Amino acid sequence: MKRVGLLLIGILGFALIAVPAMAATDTVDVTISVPALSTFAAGVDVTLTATVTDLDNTYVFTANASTMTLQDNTSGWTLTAELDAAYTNYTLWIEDTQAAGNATGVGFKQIPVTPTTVALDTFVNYGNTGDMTFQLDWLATGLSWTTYQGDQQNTVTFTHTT
Amino acid sequence: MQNVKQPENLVFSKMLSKHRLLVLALLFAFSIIPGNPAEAAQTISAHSDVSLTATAADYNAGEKVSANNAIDWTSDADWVVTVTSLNANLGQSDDLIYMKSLSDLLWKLSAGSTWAAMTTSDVTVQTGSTGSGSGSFNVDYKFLLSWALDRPGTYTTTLQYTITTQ
Repeated sequence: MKRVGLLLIGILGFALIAVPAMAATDTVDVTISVPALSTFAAGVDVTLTATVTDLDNTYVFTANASTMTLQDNTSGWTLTAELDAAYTNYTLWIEDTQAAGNATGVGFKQIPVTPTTVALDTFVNYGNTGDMTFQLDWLATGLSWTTYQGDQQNTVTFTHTT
Repeated sequence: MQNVKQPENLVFSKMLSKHRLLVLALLFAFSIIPGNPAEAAQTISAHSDVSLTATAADYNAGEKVSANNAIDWTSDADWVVTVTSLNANLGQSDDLIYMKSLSDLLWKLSAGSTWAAMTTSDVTVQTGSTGSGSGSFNVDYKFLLSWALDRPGTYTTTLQYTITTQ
């Protein structure tokens, strides 16, 4: 009986050892490459229409007239604006009132004429990474009753630089 | 002196009794010889590395997904496959300002719908209880992306898939 028991123990031991918790492994690298990315949209065209009061005040102003969107995964970007030509009847200004990034604060800034040697780094905005929206006020100054009627159209070029 | 002939079965029993340890040792030795048919054998293959490139559209979506990455397995016993990250994070941005968290890498069975963040602990991916066989299942990976956080760089980790008997 004892010998039979030993045999059974042996067989049981064999069975237990025969199916051990073996393991196999394999590895895989999972990688994402992120380049410098950005998108920028300057928004819709803006029209300023002068009224009698505006001619008296010598300026015309419109608030939140355009929205710019900027997405950038780098920091240190700059956003600048330039006019395509100089006009004698008025000067164009811009104000970033709802600033993301690191706008230099509320206040109208004159849009320089291209080509310019003026440092524009902080003209509109500059800043850090993010998904940003800028609300812009526009101002045209230099109007007077001597200003001729009619439409005068400028093109403003916004440049986003990373 | 009387010569008593022992029965043959008694001689065998004595031999067995004397050498029982030897017998057990032999049984053990046979059991651990590689290739022994009685030993549980398993293999697993995660195939090639996964390499993705983020775009602006991916940032707007907040994610970049790699779908249907096959994991092949063979086993002659009930099995379980686990996955773990061998790295505690996904690495730094090129400018070394930002460290991407490992939890920004999620995974799920392609046939499933629930994403789980990758961790440095073994997590069960799939199990099989049909005994021996071979097969394959697919896994999806997802990197979370943020305009505000994810600066340019190469973010990566090594995942280890392990198959064991249940």
